[in-house]
Amino acid sequence: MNGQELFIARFLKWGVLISGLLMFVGLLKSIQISGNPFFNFQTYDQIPLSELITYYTKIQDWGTLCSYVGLGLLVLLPFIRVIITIFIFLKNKEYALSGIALTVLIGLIFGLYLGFQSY
Amino acid sequence: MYSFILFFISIFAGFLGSLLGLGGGIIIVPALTLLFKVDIRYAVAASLISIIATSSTGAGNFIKEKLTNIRVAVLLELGTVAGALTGYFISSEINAKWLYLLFGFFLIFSALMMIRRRGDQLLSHPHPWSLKLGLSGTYSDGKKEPTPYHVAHVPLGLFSMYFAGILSALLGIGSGIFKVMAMDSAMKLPIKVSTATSNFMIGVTAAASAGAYFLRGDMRPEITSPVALGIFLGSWVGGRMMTKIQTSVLRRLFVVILLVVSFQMILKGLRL
Repeated sequence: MNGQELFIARFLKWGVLISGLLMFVGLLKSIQISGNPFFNFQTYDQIPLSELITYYTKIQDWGTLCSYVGLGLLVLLPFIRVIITIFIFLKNKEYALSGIALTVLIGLIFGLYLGFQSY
Repeated sequence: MYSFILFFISIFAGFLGSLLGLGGGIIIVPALTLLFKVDIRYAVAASLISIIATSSTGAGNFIKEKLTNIRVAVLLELGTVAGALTGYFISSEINAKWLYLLFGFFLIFSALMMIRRRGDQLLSHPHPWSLKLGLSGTYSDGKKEPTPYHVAHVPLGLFSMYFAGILSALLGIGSGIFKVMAMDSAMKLPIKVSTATSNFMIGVTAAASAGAYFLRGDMRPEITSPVALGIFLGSWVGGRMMTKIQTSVLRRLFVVILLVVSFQMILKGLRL
């Protein structure tokens, strides 16, 4: 399994690099040098992601949108890592472990569903 | 200016985290809430992102050094993901006051765990589930021959991971200290293996609730981008300096910082 494990390591490394680069570009484009960018976050105001994306698209804030793509990719990395694990176990005919990994994936997808429910 | 300060704090969190085997959450959440007065729910969401970054960056090295037991990780992720989903449900019902108090007490617990003596207690007989799933493995601790190890008390390990998952979703932490403790004390895994396996798992634990927080709109790039980039840079530098720095001194210093921050979090919770 060693070669397959190294594939997971390489996948995670590249995933972090790409998402980090997207967030870096986004931060450079939209960074606020003066003022307090955290002032609006001192009280909690729940605005669903879809509304935020619509708003930033409307005002053409490509920096923030680029950061959101990087963020989304980073959140998805563990999901893809679990999917790769399922296939590795299947390939090695370790069906019990691939079933366990599939259950973990279902749990992760259920987490996303809970996020959608807040809409 | 504020973004730069947060970026540098995150570098420090990533640096210290990689040297001490922690996610950056226990530094990021207090920094955001106590220094920048950010609401704890945004801080928790930002911290979850930093945990995914720490886990994904560190996993590569640990896998190459053959320290991560991916089989054990996948099995225990069942418990942590179930716990994280439970924690996410609780998070929308719980008052911010209780989050501060819980965080404060968790920091005291973490400080105590960091000063406890740790030693490998390897097993000669594995648990039946371990035999069935082939969880036993070998690891290298500098000797010529790899050292074999077995896995004990698998159900207890799974149960502990459920609570680690709840804490992770509620407080935006990787709960790595809790996971490592369960793996080396209950499941009798060697310390290096439990630390590496915990690092591998914290990303998936965080993702279980991070996906929901992301779609709910709680992850704001203004906060999460400097945090993620700082953590990424800090853990990269920390990983390269690991062999050159005396971690025991750093560990003692960090325990003091944890205790001071924990009392501040508890005080803030009591004032709300």
